[in-house]
Amino acid sequence: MLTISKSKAKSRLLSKAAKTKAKSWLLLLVLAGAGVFGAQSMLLQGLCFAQASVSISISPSKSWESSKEQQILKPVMVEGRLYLAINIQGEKFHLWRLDPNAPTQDWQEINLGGSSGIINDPNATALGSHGGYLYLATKKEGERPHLWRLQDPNQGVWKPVGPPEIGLAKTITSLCSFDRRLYLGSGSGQEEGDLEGLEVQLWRSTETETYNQELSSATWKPVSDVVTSALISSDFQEFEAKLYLGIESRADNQKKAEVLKLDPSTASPYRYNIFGQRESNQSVTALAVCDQTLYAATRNNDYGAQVWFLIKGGKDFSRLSSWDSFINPNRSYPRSLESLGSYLFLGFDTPAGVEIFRLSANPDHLENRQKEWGKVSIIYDQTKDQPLLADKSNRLCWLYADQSNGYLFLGTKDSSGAFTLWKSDRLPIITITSPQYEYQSHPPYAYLGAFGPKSGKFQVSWRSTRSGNYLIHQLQLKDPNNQTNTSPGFLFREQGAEKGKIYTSPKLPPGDEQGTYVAEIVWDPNQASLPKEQGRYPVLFSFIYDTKGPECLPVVTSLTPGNRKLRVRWAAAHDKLSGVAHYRILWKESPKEADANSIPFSYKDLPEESKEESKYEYEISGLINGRRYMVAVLAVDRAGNESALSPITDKSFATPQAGQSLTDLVGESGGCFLKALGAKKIHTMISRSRK
Amino acid sequence: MAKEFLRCAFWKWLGGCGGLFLVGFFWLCCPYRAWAEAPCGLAASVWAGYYIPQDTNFRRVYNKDNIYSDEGQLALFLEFSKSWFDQIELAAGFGGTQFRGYTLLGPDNPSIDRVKMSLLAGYTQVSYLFRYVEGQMLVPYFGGGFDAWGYQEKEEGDDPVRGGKYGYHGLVGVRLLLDWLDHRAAESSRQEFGIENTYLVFEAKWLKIDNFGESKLDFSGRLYRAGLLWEF
Repeated sequence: MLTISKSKAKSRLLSKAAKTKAKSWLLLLVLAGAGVFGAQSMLLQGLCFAQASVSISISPSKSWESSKEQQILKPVMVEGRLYLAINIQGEKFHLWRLDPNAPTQDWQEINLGGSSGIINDPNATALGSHGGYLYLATKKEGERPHLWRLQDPNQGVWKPVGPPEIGLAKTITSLCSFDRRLYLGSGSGQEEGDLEGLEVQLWRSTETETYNQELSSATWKPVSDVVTSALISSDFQEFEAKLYLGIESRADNQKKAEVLKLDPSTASPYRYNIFGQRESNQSVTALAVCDQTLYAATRNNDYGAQVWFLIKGGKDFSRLSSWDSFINPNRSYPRSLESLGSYLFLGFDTPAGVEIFRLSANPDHLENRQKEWGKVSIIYDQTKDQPLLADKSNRLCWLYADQSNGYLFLGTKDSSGAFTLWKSDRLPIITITSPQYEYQSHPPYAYLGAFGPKSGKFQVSWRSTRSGNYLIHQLQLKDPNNQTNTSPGFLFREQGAEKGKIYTSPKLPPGDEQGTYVAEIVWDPNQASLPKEQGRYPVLFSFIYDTKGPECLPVVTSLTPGNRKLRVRWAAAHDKLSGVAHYRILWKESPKEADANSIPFSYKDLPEESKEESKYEYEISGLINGRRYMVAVLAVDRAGNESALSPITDKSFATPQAGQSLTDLVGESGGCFLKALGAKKIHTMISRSRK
Repeated sequence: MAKEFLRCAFWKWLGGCGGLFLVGFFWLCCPYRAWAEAPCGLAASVWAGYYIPQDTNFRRVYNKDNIYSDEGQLALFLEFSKSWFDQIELAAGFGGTQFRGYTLLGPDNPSIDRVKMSLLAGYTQVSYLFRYVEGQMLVPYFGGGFDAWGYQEKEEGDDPVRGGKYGYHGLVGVRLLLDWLDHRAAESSRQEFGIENTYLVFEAKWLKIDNFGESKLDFSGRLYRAGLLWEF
């Protein structure tokens, strides 16, 4: 069960009383200074996580204990079954399977080739799902990697389907079904140390007509040039009919995060390498798609992990501002980034134990980049409220989101080396997209006044978890605290939806009036027109239809001159419906007030940020000293509506000029330090010696 | 004539005390000196204090809100000294402080251009200590000396203005012997570090730093400071 607590988590303000008895008073002073510094660091760290908390209940599905080192591959879902491969040092790997929807957690071990033991390679390197089959990549040191298809899970019948000619030293590290083909990523070299032979190449099978057609070694071909000095660092991710893969580039002996974009129609993958020009991102460790946006988690040992996003149709990745949340050396390596419905889950393995964060990935807010990650409390035993994963001995191997059934799986390893797979309660996975605003284009800003109303429409897409009809209703909320004063308005019906498919509504109109709307999706098995309580999902998504600019205008409170600049301060504007998105600072030279309307304004847009009232200020630079300027401010709401200009008063006019410093005031021009001190002889001696 | 005499005395005094400062510094840094030897009369001290300039223009440009007030600025100092007969003490030290403010468009009318004044102060002084018994808990003292201050004023976006000023000061202070608080720690300090006495010191200085009345820029004012002093 997913519980969202709206209460703010308390800041972790820790303090320790130093009880060291100082031998000298100087030492005491140094300690006091260090104490202040430490307390400040802890305060900052604590404030970073004053965010909404989330609780997810989980239960152990199965534990695998071994006296030897175990490596557990990330699982894959094939035909409703979860497959998991476990490598054991010095032994042959094991393959397990689970039906997540079964009432009991019965794991079944898959025979690796019946009694003949056809798979002799000791290690599994990748699992993939393609055409309803499980594909398995294996490797034996010094031999070519092998690729297998599981023909019959019950009998353990395997069929070799490769490998492509990718060399003895290489390993298949990623498998992915895409564009009716099976793609694989191959790499070589070691993670640390020698760069020689370190390279990445992508291959694909040639079959396109049917999934059942057998793959053979002759049907593989490379689909990318060899990317040298690089390691594969994430799984494949499909996005906008392209395939993406995170890598760790080692060019110039520096680790650098990159993402390869593979377009089936072109030979060479495009390389996004904008991550961390200055932030020292070392690798892209995970990719996930959520709400038509591709997200990439990057490893960063200097500043802590970061999350980047690429919107649909976007050219480059942008960084979520909320990366600040992870400024912590212990959160430098994001192990997994998974999407489930409209949420992203990001998992860390830290000395404090397993840490998971969740983000509502509604793209409506991406432009403002005001997303906040909420820390997820993993509750093992709901009755005892036992946060099992707070046990510091647990290490996170990966997260896996079961998109079909709404489960979140966690793989952890404890101090004894035992691997445990945890399964969450079923989580709701309905996906809601944000409103697709259709903004009017802004003309060049030459006059003042509000632009026309915006035509807003919204679109909903969701994954059908049950067969039947789905209805989209809309409520208008006049009072956000009272949702019952309006009856549902029918907007759209999807009839005969099949289980597991994704459906998207047409662009739906908002109501006639501006206001806050809430859309809900209702599952309707009996084709009844009215929603039934048991089929109604929780309130899913609110949409603000706003046609008027901020009603409370910004007011210029001071305009202070400086040397070729002016600083304007203003009181905040307010927009009850959608809120203020940004302020526009406008200025122009205005020798006479009568000329005010004939000269166009220059302007600068400043995003609204939640800050103190006194911080609403901006310095206009590049002005000419001695000339009179008029300055005004207007506010723009999140729907793009502008307010009127701030009232023009005496405070709206000022003339830039240079002020006087102390030496200016007293007429002191400075000079050589020694000479100025009166040591003319010494100064003369130094001057002569230089000559 | 008197000013020329003062200037000459100032430089001789400064040279002598600068030498003392260097001797004290290297003596403290020397790893081979015998810590547990007999008291040598040298002392080192660290200070933190409040420097309050008296010049009206200074205080108009350099105070927090550009409103005329008595606000001063934190200043830090390091000092070495040598005493004779437990009562006469010669000291040399240096320290610094920094003021931040805004340039003025008119009286009490600041602009938005930031300006910063950095001060590096060197001084020498002689003091008389009212110390007559060993282990005296309170030791009042008074004295006077010379000062040489370097300054740099840097306005945002402009080249800095640098220079120096000299002058003199008078002082009164009191030392509080801390060894009374913890005899065991005091004995340990004596055995391990050769520290004979540890004092908490409070001092007030009246500064006249205006090139003996010839400077437009005037750093005269008051300095109230507290410090820890270790006698070896």
